[in-house]
Amino acid sequence: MNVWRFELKKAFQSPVVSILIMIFLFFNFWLIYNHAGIREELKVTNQLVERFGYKINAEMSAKLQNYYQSKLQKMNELTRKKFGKTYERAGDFFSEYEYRSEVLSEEELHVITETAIVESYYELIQKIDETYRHLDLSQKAKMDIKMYGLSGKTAEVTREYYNKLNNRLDELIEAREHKNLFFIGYVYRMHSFLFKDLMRQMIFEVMILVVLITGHVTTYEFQNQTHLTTYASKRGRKLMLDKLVANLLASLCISSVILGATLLVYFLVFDYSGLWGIPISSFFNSEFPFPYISWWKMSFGLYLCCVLGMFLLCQLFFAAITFSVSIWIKNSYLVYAAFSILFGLFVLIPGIVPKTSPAIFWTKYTPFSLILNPHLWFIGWNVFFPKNHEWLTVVIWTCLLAIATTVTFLKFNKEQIN
Amino acid sequence: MRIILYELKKIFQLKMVCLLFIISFIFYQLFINFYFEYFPNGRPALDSYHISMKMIEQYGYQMNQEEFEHFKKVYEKEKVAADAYLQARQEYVDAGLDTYEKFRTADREKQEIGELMDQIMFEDEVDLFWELQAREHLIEYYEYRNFLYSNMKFGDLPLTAEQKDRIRDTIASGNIMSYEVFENYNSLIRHVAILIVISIMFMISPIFLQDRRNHVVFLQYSSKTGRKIFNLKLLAAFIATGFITTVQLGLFFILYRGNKVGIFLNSNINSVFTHEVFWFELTFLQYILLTIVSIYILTFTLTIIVAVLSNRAPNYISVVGLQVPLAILLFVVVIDYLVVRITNIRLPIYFLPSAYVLLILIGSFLYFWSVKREKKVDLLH
Amino acid sequence: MLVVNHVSKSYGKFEALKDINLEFSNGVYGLLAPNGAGKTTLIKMLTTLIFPSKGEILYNGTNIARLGEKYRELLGYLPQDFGYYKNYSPRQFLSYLGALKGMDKKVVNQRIDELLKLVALEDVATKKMKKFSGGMIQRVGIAQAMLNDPKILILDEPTAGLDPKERVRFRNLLSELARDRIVILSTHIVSDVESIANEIIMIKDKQVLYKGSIDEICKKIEGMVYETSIPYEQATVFKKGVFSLSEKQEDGLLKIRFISKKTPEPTWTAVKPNLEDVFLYVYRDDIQESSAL
Repeated sequence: MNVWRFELKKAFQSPVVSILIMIFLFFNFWLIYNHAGIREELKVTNQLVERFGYKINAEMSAKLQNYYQSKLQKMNELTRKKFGKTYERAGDFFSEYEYRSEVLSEEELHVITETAIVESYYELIQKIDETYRHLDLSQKAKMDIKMYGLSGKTAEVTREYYNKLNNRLDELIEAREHKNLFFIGYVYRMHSFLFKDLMRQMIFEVMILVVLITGHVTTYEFQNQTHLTTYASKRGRKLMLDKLVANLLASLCISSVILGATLLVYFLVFDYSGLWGIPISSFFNSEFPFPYISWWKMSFGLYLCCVLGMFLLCQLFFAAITFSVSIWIKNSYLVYAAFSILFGLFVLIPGIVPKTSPAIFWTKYTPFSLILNPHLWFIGWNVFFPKNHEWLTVVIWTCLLAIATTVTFLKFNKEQIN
Repeated sequence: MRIILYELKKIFQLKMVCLLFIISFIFYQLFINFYFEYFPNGRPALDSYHISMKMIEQYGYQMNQEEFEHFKKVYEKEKVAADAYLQARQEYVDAGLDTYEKFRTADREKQEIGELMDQIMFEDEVDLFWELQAREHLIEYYEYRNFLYSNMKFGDLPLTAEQKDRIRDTIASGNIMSYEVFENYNSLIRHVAILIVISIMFMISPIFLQDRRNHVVFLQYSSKTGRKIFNLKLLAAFIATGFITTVQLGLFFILYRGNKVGIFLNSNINSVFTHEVFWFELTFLQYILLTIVSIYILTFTLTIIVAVLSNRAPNYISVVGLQVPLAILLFVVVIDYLVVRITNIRLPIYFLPSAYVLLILIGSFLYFWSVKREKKVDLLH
Repeated sequence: MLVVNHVSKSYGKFEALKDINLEFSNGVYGLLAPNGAGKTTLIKMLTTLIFPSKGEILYNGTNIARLGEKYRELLGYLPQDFGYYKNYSPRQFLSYLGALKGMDKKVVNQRIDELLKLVALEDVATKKMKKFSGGMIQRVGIAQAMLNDPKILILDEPTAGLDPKERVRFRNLLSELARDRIVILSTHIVSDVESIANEIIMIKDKQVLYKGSIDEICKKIEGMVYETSIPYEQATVFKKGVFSLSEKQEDGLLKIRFISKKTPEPTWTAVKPNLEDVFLYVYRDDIQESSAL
């Protein structure tokens, strides 16, 4: 008989778990709904990709220009008819937009909007090379050093970091990774929306559930006065192993429910068809003067998968941490408090380490620091986001937690159960 | 009375108090300390703060047109000093930055000019230049004070006549209040309110659940005190809440004294400089008192909710889990509307009283419902 | 005088007790029933933890629900699963309960000293109860029930966890207490009540089956209890014809005590029934009943 099945049941038998899942999903859908206003505009990108492919080169550029010109012409015909006026740029129309919207039908407005978007693409493509020429990473290193007040060893690390990032940038430019179409990051901020707003929200939601459940299941016997019977049974203290398995499975279940439902709705609302293969380092994905530079060549689809993988791993870590804490504390309420305190401490410590100590870097190798910026996973952003941050954190914490869990088991095996 | 004392002892167990202390410490380090350490946050905020203070010293708490002209004159005088500073340095004259006006409007994008500007602003941090910037902002706020009409809209709703009246009065008043000080306080009190909510949730949650879990409840209900224990425990919870709130606020205000805002306490917060208009003529001190009162009402209502949850929930996962949405609601919505920027005219004048009446009604309803239930509930397990 | 008047208790469709009528005056009452018969339900009603669905419980003529704290003031109660705070010492815990019982602080302290001596816990009066054995906890429970010198003392399984010596001491204590108060003792350990109870109440099928002194109750099966010795080989056949109460081996034979309504055989010796016989007989399984009698 599989005992872990019974343990898994304990995880979901409390109605509060389903209530929270419902509420969290509602939050996520609400967030998507609030952002959904741009979904029609985003479709222009899919159309362009369908028409010209997403690789930007001279040929494609020329085709796009023709397309843009014809669009602009059509638009000007329309505006001439309506307002007796033509525009050099579709964007100019929108600076006068407020006064004209009443006269235009939905469809006519759509034509102009579409032209404006195509125009943005056309104009931005011309700017790509210049933008990347102007990226001065040594300058950025200086700014970082000043901004974070680094010096000595840590300043050295920063300079090295930007050297490395610079190499990657050169490689990326060489491979023309940046020359790909995507939703315009400056305008729509889809990367931040999906990977920061939505993903981080989900990470916290799932984390709350995972900690609640793990604390509950692990301390269940002690809280229900069944510990004397259960730990004296044939399975005995190995029951804790079943509980660990059940907790990890429960974490995966919760993650899949929240991620599955939310992402399903997300990709139904926002059309990514044709865009899955586009590198995440694409110029169009960037939202700030400094672009997102992934450390490895990663398409959007691959990046999403990696982020989801990290997501699951982090949740497993949280389950394992809570599990170990639970065995020591045995009172689920205090377990929740202890986890919150741990979380706070791990986030706090990198901030109070002296700026000259390399500790400011390695104290960030924790799942707690990691989940604060899921939109920068696998991406070189500043010195606190090194190349191997994610997988090193995973390796280190897998080892740490394996040791912690083993020690906890050993302790529990020798423990006197009263 | 003795029972309440015993119950309080149970709430303030050493273990719980220590944990609360650690939680508060971490919370302060992560969220609150920043607003003490970086107040005013950088420049020209620092200069703005100093100048606002000077304005009050010179003109009193209101500034009329005449005084404003004087203020502008000071600005012009300082500008002349800045011109002199620039002209005394050959490299600036060479780069064509021989007057402050040119310095101000120069193209930062050009590297050599950018570097020269950074030299003054960031390397040497010349007070004069920062001060000029701050004064410019203040003059702008005053001159473009009609901006308040668009700033005080709630979403796309048009302004009502009452709102317009309040804005007109505010503009006419010439009240001087520092934006930096006001915003700093708002950020602080917001986080302090959150910390207090967390503290109360943490301390009060076990109050009933604990006794039910270890079956002491059977002894309580069959003793002379009997089902009155619900009221007594709730009273103990109220006292604990009052105590926690008071200690947290007390601690906060002791620390807040370090921000040195004494002179602004008598400033009217309805000011073109704070970009905010309120329904009432409140001084900063009155506003602070109002936020304190609102925190107390909020925490006492919260105490009832948490206590009732603790009385009904079967286990800790439920009592904590059910408080998660409650906490999100409080942190994201309630505190921002009922504590921070309280009585702001963006919301209708009757919003605040009705919100608090609603809160108190929710609390009372929960209370009477629980008492009624307590009277006849069967104690099975 | 405590009177239970036509009391029923049901949870939804499930009926736990049906039309109970009882009267208690000073003395020890043994509430005897197997587990799950509704003993604890009755006790919880007597202690106001739950309320009757029908009927009423009167103390000196007034409904105990109306008396409220005036009733509970006179009440001492040891629940079946006695709850306590692990991190409290017996002294701390008893003074907390003293406050709940509305007692004067000085009186409480004095009582605590007396009671802790009485239950032989004075040495550990200030030690945390975390490390206590089951018997020690049970003695704390007994002490707390007697803390307010109750007029009505209700004890649910009080002897669980006590050793024989403690048990005897406890019984003597109860007999003494019962002179001027009502002591209701719920148990399924027959020997506990046999020696001290003035009256026994037996509950079966949600109703009061017998109420009376031990002698009265034993009379119900008088002349039906026998003892005999038979060889082992005959045991199976023999037991099919009678209701066996106890068996033990003696001199290579099986000495069997049993109930039979048939005409006694010459080898059977009639014996005086005791309470345990009644208990076993009353709560016998239905299958056995039909086959044996």
